[in-house]
Amino acid sequence: MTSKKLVAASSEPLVLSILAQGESYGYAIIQRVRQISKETLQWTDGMLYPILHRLERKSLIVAHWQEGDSGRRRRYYRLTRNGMRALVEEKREWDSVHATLMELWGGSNA
Amino acid sequence: MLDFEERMAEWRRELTAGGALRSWQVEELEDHLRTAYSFTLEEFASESEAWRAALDRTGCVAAITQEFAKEQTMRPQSKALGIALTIGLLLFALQSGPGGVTLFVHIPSMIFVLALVGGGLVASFGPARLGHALQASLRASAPLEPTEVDSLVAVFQRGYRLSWMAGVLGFIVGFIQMIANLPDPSMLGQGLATCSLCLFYAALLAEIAFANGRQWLENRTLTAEYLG
Repeated sequence: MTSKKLVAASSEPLVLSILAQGESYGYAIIQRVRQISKETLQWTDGMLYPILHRLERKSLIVAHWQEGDSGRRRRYYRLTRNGMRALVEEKREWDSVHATLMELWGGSNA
Repeated sequence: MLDFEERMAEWRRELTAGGALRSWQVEELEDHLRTAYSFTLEEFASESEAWRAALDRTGCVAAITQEFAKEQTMRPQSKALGIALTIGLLLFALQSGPGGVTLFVHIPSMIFVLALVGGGLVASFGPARLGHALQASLRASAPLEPTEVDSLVAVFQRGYRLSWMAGVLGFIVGFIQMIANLPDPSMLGQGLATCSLCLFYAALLAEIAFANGRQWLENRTLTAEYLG
């Protein structure tokens, strides 16, 4: 199980990256995270929503309701231009952390 | 047999009970739970197992409520409470002192400060934009784009600065009045009153009205559904 710290730190870039691939809704986003991480990242689903709302507050994503077949509505999210910019920045930061760690770990005879 | 709709309604009630979630947020989570259930139904043999699994996956109500509570923003009741508390306690403090509240009522100073601030604002922005800014800061609904907020905040920013300036000017005016009337001590009182009370009114106007108004506007760079 991945540490809580890492899960928390990675949650926003993960959501942004998934939305960068196209508009989606809560459940589908979580499924995608599970799928891509090959089940190593297991979120408690409900926790995703405050993250989505926070990203929405920061204007990184926007949401709209869509009427479903059963008369219920579903909230869909998509990335904004600001969100795309933020994602690019996140990627840069993660890449740099990753490169540094790889440098340190790759060098040892582990 | 599992009474799904009843369980769902109960879960919804629990989630709403915490008070941390708005109705649309509960609606969103309900959609999630229903979707989760539709999938677990395929994975598990019995309906109750599937329901359990869907619930576990979605997360316990207490934890969800806690997470949402962290993100919560201000209710309009808090605004009203804050202002009422400030003014109420201030009046109480003044009344308890020698001379009571009437000691602090000085019409010429009030007019002076209000005229400068009001006039300055009208000159800078025009009455239409002022009305809009006032309305915007008091309303709890309707979303605001960040750029829209900036232009409205400018009004409050200017008002804040004008208030303090009016206070300082009032102080100087009162001071001059005192100096001009030094030979006649009975007139000193007027000058001194103008001095201090202009600054007093200016500070109140700046910090209670404009600073709060501005903060309320900035709080509204959120979607409508978060407030009120």
